[in-house]
Amino acid sequence: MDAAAVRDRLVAELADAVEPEISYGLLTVTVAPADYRRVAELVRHDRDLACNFFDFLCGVDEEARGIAVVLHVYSTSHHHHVQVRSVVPREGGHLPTVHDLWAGADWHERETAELFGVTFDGHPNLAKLLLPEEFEGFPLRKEFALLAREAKPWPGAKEPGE
Amino acid sequence: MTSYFQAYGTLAGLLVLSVLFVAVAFGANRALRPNRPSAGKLTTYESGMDPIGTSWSQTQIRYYVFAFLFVIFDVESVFLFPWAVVFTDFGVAAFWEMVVFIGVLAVGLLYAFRKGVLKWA
Amino acid sequence: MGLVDSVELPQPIKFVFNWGRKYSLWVFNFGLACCAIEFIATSMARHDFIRLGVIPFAHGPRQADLLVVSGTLTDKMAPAVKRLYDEMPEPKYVISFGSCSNCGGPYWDSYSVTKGVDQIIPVDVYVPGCPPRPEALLHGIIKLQERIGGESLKDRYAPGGSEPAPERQPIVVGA
Repeated sequence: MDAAAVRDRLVAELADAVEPEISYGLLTVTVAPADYRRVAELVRHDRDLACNFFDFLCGVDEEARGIAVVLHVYSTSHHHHVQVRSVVPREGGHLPTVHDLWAGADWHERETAELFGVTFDGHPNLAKLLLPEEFEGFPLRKEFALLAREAKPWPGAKEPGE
Repeated sequence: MTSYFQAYGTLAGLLVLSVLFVAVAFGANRALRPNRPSAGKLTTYESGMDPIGTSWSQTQIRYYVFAFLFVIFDVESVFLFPWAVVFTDFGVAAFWEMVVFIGVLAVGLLYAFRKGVLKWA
Repeated sequence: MGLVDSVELPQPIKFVFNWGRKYSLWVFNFGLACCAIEFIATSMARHDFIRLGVIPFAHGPRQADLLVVSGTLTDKMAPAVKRLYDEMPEPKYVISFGSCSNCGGPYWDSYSVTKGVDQIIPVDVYVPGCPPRPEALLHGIIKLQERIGGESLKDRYAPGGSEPAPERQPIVVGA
């Protein structure tokens, strides 16, 4: 199924709950946090969607809008990709876990939790994965200040992005 | 009389020499190595992490079983080689005696096979 | 009761002991990132550090003389490096291979990188580069061997302790 067909299938099933968007051939559906679990289960268990391969789950800091959590899955039988995106508030944002649907989501959720501060309800072990235990703060958020950059200014001639 | 004690004398000399050898080796080692003890050197090695679990582990019994079966049949082959060289000189009886010997050991092997210990995994 | 590190030995004896020690460095390869691949490349046929005597890859810190830290050291890994360094018996040498382990390298501003392995363990040779050429590692090992050839173990340690002497000067390859 190509991206348009997957989109039509999802819209047919879920109507207003999803906002689909196809960009460079990749379908991303944005859902509310309350519908996230339902959509994930549909995408996993439905016979035409059958997304059994977990690619990644990560966070995106979208400043005022909140923190978006993006789940990218692939179907090995139908050969199509789907991204499920859900925006949670910056303070106290939480989503249900999908580690029981895709085992690979376990560590990805741990990483997203420690780097962005998004909690995953139902996750068996949300301990720090990559950061040392005593680390404070959420490094991948935009407002996190890098100590080394504060102490020593950027030595290059151009700022990154110039 | 002197030749009677000569053997003991040699033995005593050998004893002294071996004790001396060990003492010199260890003594030289003690004197010539740097001695800087620290608490870190006594920690248990577990790739830099805190050790978890006990340090006992169970060995598979199959290694022992195969080892002693090997020894038994190896000794059997040690008997087979000289027999193979000379048995034609002793008539048919020598042949049948060896058949009995191998037969007894084959019964043992059959017993081991039926007991299932010859399976590796 | 170790003589070697408490007494200044006469030159011929010191020469023989240093010669034995420098040509039989057992390396504990602490490969963390891309520099580990360069380290492995240096051990392979084209540039071969095994011909310098740095032979086996020690099975653990207890059988090693030389610790080569190659790659980025993160804050989560730092206690492990410290503990493994502590578990190595004397005399031990450290080569910091690559700019990440020298000073944090290209990740100097990261939230999770230790800016240089010398923040936690004393380093004898710094090999700069990102990653350094295998020839640079060979140069570093040879320089280390030259230093070991002329060293007196008594001056290597602070008196009475197992910590290195404060005025120990590291070698920087290429400088």
